[in-house]
Amino acid sequence: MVTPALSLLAVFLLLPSVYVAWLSGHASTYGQGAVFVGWQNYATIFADRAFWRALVNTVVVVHIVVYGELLLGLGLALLLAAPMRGKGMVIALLLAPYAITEASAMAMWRAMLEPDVGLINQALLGLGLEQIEWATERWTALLIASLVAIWHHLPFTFLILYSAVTTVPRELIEAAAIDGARPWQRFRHVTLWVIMPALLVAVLFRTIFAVRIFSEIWLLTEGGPARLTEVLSIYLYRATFKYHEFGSAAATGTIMLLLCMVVALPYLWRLYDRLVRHA
Amino acid sequence: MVSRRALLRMSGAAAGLAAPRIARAAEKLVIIGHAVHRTAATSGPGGDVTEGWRRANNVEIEWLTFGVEATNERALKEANLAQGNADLVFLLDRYTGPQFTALFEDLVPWMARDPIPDFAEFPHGMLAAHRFGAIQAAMPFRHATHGLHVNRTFLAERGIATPPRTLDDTMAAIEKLSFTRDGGRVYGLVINMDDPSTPIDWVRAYGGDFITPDYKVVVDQPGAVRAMAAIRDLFRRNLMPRNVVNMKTEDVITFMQQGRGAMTNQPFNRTFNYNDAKASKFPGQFDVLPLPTGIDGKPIPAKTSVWAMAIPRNARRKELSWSLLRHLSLPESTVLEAMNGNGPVRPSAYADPRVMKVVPYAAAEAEALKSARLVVPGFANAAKAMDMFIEEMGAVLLGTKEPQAAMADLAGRVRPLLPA
Amino acid sequence: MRSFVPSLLRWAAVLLALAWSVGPILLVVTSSFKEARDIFATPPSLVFAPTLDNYRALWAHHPMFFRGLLSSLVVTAGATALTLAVSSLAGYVYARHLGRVLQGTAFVMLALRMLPPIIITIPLFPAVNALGLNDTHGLLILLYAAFYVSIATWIMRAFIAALPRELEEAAEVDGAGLARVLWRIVLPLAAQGMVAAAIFVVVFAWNEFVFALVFTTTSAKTAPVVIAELLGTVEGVQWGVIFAASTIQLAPILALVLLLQRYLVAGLTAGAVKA
Repeated sequence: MVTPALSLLAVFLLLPSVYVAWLSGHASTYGQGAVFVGWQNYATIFADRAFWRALVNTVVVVHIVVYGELLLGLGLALLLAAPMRGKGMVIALLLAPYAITEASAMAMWRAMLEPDVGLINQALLGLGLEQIEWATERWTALLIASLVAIWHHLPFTFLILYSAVTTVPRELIEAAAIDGARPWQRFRHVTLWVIMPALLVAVLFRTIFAVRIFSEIWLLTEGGPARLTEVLSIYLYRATFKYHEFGSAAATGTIMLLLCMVVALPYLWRLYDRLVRHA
Repeated sequence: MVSRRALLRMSGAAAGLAAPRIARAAEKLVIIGHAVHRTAATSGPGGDVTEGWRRANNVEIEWLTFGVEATNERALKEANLAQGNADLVFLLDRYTGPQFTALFEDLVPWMARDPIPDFAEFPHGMLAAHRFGAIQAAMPFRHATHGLHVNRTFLAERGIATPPRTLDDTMAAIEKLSFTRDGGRVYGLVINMDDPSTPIDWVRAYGGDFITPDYKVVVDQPGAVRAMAAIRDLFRRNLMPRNVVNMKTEDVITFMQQGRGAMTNQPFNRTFNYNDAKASKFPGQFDVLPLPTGIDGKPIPAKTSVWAMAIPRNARRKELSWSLLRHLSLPESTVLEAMNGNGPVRPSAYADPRVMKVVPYAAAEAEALKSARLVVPGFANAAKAMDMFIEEMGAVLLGTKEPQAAMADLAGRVRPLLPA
Repeated sequence: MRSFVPSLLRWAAVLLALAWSVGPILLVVTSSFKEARDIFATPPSLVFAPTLDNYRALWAHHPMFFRGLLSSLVVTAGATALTLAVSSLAGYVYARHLGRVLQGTAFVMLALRMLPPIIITIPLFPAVNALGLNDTHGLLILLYAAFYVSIATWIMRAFIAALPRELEEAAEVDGAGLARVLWRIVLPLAAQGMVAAAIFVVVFAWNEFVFALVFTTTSAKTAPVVIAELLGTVEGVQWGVIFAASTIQLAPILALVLLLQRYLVAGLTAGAVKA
């Protein structure tokens, strides 16, 4: 009975990734068969400044996105933990970005960020401030792309944390309050302690998903200016769809895969521990 | 909540959908191209050029259209399959290369068998854009050659009597045409920097070039370096948009339509977009003329690119493919396509009174075409080399590298990519 | 007074959060009713005469978009049905049967989910073509199901594990076979879990972009791909038309998410927090 589920996964996820690992040791393009080149593709990539820049950018973006979402998500979860009127509606509206497709999300953000005429830049100019130079400054561009990613994925993080916060027993908090604990202490010693597992899950999932960040940056800057804002998946996209170098694309893919594995390792280990060793 | 019966029905439907799609009906010919090719071939003042051919051969044509990059990518992808779905594909010169010749029919034998009338008229340079050694991998269909577009209203408002005709005049005009209007900034010059096709005009204006037709990298020579310094100067003085390093062709169109740019060097037929009453704030206010003269006093060689038709090796009905390719290349077809806004690959089309009547820039474009040049000659790593150009030029504009250093780096990186 | 100020602050924070999450969406929806020239008006026009021009232009010039919507609908329905069918079975097994090998496969399932999807586009294209599946709804359905089957299984497992076993055992005593037990007892009781699992698949399948971009050309092209194409046309970006298309595309899914949000919470609690 688990066969259909497992075969779907094997055919569409496992086999292709094994093939990608194999291909990363070959040179291949349209109209030419794969030729074995050993570690050559990896050597080429490691010698490419653009790759290292893409790696650094990916790491930076992942950190901004994960911590940003965590802080905002936790703040919102705590804000909404106590009873309030219209809470269902508020939560529903907070989830709205989750329903938006990437292309539309980017269309709306691009329109708001248009130099000179976009809403955000007009507002900044109106306040006598400088425009956001997302198109010319590497870190500004990455920051903006991260903000858009946060906007898009915050609902996910918020939901996980909110679900966890609602499981904190009220009696515990009340007991702590009676013992004279200040709000911050109550949070640190009670709430945080209870939601820690969920917090870790949120961090891991968002990290793994943020490593593959693509459309936020692709639709904003296409990795420009001067390839300064490229992340790993854009580097891979270029190798595949622009240069048709499938070998080095596969090598980049393998590296991304390993990166995700390393990040996911603690989580997978815990899971393995629970599922298999103690089964 | 999903009812069980509905669930059953849906999974049944899913199983049905998952079954391989039935092969296309035999009388359908599939073309992969850009929307501009479909427009040129099927709609406009010239009418549907394919209509007679379709009726004579009893064939339906299905156009699959994509963006520029995606068209080329999809064409290569389809041609690479064991069994192809595409019968005719459009390729742009700088996206193809000698490494892909195995994927497409060599058109030389086809021409010998069933010649295209008055073929001698096709300019050598256009054919060369898709010829690798002795193989003619694709047949030119459309050229996109740059002219200088100017907003007449802005010229008048800033007291410029005539559009600039020399490089010095142009630089002066760019400065004058950068001003604040209705609370918004107008930039004197707007260019796209997603590939080198627009910057290359200015490199050539200063007597420089990127890669010569005989595969010499000259981008570190004084001409190109001076051009980089000049463009950086424009950018620093706020005479070009702040996000120019990230601008694409579509952005240039939006800037011109919105009145945020006064001049740009883009393909002649863009004038229709800029003057479009529905989208533009300045309909009918844009003129297009050949590029001004460069630093040497001669006309700047305008950038041109050549879209050409190729027949994938794996196409199923190559006779039909060739027949259509030949039909679209006939002298009369070329005229009708030109009337539909196509850059005609036969110079004689410009002299046709019907073309002159509906295409206001016909004479100017014919003039520009005489000295036009491709962005880069075709070679396997052209896409990489062009990306490097944009990367190093971006570094100059952003101020992280000096022009001389950046161009020296660029030359050093590109040389190993060239054919030996 | 003391409780009034914090609650005021709290509401201010909530309103700020709402502006952040809903503001951009509202901008798209309102702009879709503006004339092309007014969308980037300086200063922005708050009061404007609404027009349906953008929707008319979309209808007249981009029939592809409406075909895309239809494709999206077919693919979403198919992927959801397939995922539910497959993961209900697997979820039941994982919830009721323990065993090292079996739970090992559950582990593999979740581990595979960590793969970045863009990677598998490289090898899949030729394989898909060899099978004649390129540009079919069926392929997207299979792909989307493959990517969501592990999460859906996980959610189903959690929901089924929470059901009392007694009912199943009673039915078995009465001589009901496994299929009957599942169909008559387990699945109806786990219906909430199915909705929770379904909503994740529906949102994903309706909005997915990368696979649809790579594996479709015309017949199976989905709405998000058409919207992205509108963003990159040579005729200049027609923001009004894009906003109209976006509004149409997001309206149903947004309504669904707003309506079924408590299932999203339930699904995440079951799927992620408890795992």
